[in-house]
Amino acid sequence: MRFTRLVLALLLCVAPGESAWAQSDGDLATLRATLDQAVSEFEGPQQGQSLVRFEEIIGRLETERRQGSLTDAGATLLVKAYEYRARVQYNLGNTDKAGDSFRALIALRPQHSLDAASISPKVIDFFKGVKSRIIGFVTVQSVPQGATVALNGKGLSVTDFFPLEVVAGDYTLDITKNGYRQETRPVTVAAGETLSLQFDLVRTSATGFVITEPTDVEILIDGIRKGSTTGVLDPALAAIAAARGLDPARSSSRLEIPDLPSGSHTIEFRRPCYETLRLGLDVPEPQDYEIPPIKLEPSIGAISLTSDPPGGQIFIDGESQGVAPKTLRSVCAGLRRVEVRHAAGRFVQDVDLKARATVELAAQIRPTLAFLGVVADGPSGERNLASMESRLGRMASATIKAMNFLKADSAVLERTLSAERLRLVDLLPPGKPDPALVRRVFEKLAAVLEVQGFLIGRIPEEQLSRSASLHVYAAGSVVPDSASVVIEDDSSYARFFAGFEKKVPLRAPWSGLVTVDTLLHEGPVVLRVVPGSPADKAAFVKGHVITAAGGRKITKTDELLAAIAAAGTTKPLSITTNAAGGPKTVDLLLEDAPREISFQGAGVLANKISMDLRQTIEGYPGSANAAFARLNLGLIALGLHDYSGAHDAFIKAKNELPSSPGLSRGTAAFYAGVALEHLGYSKEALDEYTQASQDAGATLLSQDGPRVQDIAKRRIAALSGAR
Amino acid sequence: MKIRSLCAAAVAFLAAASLASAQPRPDDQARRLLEDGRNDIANGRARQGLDALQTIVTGFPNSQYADDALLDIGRYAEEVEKNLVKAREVYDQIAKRYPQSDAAPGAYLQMGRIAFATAASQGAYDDALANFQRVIRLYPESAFVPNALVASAAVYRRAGRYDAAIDAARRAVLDHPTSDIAPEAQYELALSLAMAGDTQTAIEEFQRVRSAYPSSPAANRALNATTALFRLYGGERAAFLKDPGFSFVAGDVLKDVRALVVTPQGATWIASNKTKSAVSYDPNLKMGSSVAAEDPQTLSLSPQGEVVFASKLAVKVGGGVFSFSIPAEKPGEMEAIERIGAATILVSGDTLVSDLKRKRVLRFKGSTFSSVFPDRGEREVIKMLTTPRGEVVMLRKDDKSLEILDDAGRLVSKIGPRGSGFEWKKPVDVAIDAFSNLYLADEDQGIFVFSPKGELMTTFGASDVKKSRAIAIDLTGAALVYDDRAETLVRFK
Repeated sequence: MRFTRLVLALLLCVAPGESAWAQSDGDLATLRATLDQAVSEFEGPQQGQSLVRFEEIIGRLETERRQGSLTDAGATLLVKAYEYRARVQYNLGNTDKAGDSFRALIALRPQHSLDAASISPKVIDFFKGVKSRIIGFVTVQSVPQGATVALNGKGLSVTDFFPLEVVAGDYTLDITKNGYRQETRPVTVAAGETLSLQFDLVRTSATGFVITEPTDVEILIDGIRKGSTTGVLDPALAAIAAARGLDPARSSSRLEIPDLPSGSHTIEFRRPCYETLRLGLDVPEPQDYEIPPIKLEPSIGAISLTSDPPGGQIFIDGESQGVAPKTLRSVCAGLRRVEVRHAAGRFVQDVDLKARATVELAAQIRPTLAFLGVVADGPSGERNLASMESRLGRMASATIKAMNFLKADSAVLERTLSAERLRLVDLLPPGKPDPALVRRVFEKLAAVLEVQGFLIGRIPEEQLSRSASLHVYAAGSVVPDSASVVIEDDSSYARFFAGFEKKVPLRAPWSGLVTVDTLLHEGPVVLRVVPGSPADKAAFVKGHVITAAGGRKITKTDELLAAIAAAGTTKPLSITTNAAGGPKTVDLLLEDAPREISFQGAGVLANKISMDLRQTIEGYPGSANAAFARLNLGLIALGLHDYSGAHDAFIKAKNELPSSPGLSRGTAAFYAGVALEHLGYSKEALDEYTQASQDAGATLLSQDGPRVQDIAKRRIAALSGAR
Repeated sequence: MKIRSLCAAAVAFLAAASLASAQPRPDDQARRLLEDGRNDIANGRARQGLDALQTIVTGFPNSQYADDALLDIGRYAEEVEKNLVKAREVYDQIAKRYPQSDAAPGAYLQMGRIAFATAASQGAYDDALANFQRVIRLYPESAFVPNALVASAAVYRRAGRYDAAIDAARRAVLDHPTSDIAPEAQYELALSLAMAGDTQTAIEEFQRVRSAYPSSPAANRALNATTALFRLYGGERAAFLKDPGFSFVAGDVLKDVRALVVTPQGATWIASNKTKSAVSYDPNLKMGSSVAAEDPQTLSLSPQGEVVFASKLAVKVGGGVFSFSIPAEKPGEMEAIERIGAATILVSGDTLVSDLKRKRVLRFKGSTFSSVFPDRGEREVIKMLTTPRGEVVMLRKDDKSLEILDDAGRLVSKIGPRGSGFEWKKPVDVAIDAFSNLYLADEDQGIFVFSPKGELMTTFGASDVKKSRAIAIDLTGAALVYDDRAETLVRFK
């Protein structure tokens, strides 16, 4: 029993505020219901019975009034209760008590009157008689007008006002107005008489008045906000405004700035996207000051934006502004966050835009990597989870420059995973989740988070282990790039993140020279020249021995390839050959040619390269580069044994690639066959190989790589034999 | 009482559980044994290490490390003990007992390799291929798949199925570009292309070994291959030019030289009747080891790359010296072979010995006579070679011809003594390069180069060598020719 009480007491202690509020509100509702019942009884045959209920209401509300807790609604209820009680008492012939009830009512609300349409004239006359014996009148005028009058601290009205009913008695009258001295005076209101007062207020501070164009201009006096201009201009002031160069139609109403102390002040006019204006204001004496109408000049600049890839949606401070490339001519000056969002990624930069200046921005869209968090496999990992999560986020933000990095919204992540009945750990190695599921989840997350890749940490179960694994997935990928890091060692994170900075170009300078190293020649010897290539145009032929390129001695093919890679395609590369007729130097203008990108080598992240490739695909749809990117995307998937993803990419690439010699449709068809073979679709693979074998000019690896036709024919033979 | 009993039981259970948790789990024990065993073997404590591995197999047969232990035991038997029978048994055990384990594809791979090591027939090739195909088809995600593809390519290449070899190697190259064996896969691709006669593509693919895997051991071999192939196929005609910068001084070793050979490691062996020995010189021509022998005859290489030194009475292979005898006409008696003219080791491991006295070629398993090869017809064979395809090249003094036969003795082709554009006068030696091209030394006419198909590709040396006596092809395809009259070694690069 005691225990139950204690619990109840505790419960009451837990939420006292809420409980009190509910009771008060409930009480009022109860009283209202009681009043309705009482009125019903009042209207019925047994009117006298209603008296008990009116008494009850009055008793309860009077208690509150005496405690100072009576609300306006309560007061209204009390007035009604008094009125009905008086009427019951009057009807019962008890006029003394009826008089008392009306007096209590009038003391509570002197201006109260009875409804002549529904109440007996006798009662109304009786009420008026009671009232006339206890009510006097007060009227106050002041110079200037607009002063607030209060009796015993309770507001009465604003000057000048006509006589108002006041319960006869002694009062303290206060009259106040901003900028004027407060006047206080004891007054006596006699029943049936009118007390008429006149005040000449004494000025103590100045007041300023101002009009602005436009409106909504914030006014600060000596750095303190005094308000903002609003409304429309009084037509009477239009001429004044126009005389100062303001457009009356765009000007504000006259704003009063009260309480300006004497002395020198700085008045400041501020509005976003307008030049801030500061004026000096001398207030020698307390009086009204008309500040000249103020016109603020717009403060805007221009931002000229291009994006790579084009077509990015522009946002300035989060508000959409159209599609890049675009010049935004009316951007508010100041620190602006410029964001360009694209399916391929985003660009974010804070720009300090000066008024009337133009900022040119070439927005390089970068993929965005979302950090999905760290998962721990056991209790010891749980202990390290927060610190690793913080370290991982910090290191990624500090190290990864080639991508945007953000922490994923955990609610979105939870929602997406819940929809698939998954936990984050279910997607990670060494578990072997369904690749289609992994692809779907990451693609879904990529769409809702507007990102292109994901970073996840995992702390293994081992008790003594201080290491963890990091996993990076590109959207659409099913196999992550993974690395082991020492939880407390920043450098181990940095080493992994360095892989994000590696960019593998889709195209490279190309000569069309196919050379070979031998021990018979002093430099690489030309084995063949690709027809139509730069080398072909420059009349290189088989057997030429290359001894120098770009002025540097060349002894082997790799040195020649390095010289070509470094040369670029804008300036010719001088190549010296040792031909039969003696040394000869030829200027070779290289071509920018596609190639299969290599994702081999330490620190290269296939998933990061995938993100870059997807950026090209999304950013330049329909372009040759997008097609080559698609081909390479398939190769990465192939390398990661994601044969389904690879096949999808190759089929698309086959439709997008040119049918010219080199990396072309035949290349994609061949690789599609490879993917199909891995998936176990021999017949379909054979079809793709057959297509590939019909593309005589197609190559693998590069424009001068192995011929697809030969390779495909062997595949056909092998598959046909197997079948 | 009841409660007390329950409590006692609970305490006992908890104590038992606690004790159980303190004991290492079988997997942990097996893992530790595996680590110890490997460590012991790596540090020369083989017996101890093998015992540890065997303990896993017998004591923890259900642990996840039992298959790994067996694989290590098998490899030790194969690679160190050279006991292929035992190794195969162990691998077979893995495949049967642990077919779902990580080691199973490795076991199949090794079984295939063992089968291939001595494969000289279609059946043996098929046996090897079947094992490699199991790896590829049954364990497609295994790390052994690229090794199986490369091994398959090698089998196809030896079997002369070059398209299949190229396709298998290409799969390894394209599908597994980051595997450890990728450089070898690329090399195998190029080699298969070269053997298929697509020399232009082969040169490009050899060059790709250098470009893609510049620091791999295969890169140096690829440079040798591009050099050799370019010399043969880079121009309109194969061109061997005397290397003016080559100078080799070796005193008596260069007198009465009977034979030359260059090993896969680049060592040059010279067999001299003057010194009655075969002497080795490293690639920098610094003298190395030597082997004494009465009346040296020929030098050749076994399929494993060991030097086969035939002298009048015995044949030295690797660390062993073998003399041979055959059953005499009188039952139960043996007659020694006293005039050995040449010898070679077949892929199957058998030894062919040319008996100049009986004018026969005899086949031996170890030192035990097996058969007359290829038939009872008389042959004065003065040089024998085993080709990369496992065929035997015989240089016959009696009819001045080259006979090429398969392991079973079937004649594959015959060259000489005359043909389109040539007629030999006195053929004295024959050599073979990495691509199965044959180099015949004629005492009076220099060197004749023949393609694997037996077509004359070029001749050289007639004006630079007065009397050719012996020839060897080095790793870069350059020819070393001994001039018996000038008693010098001439290099044609």
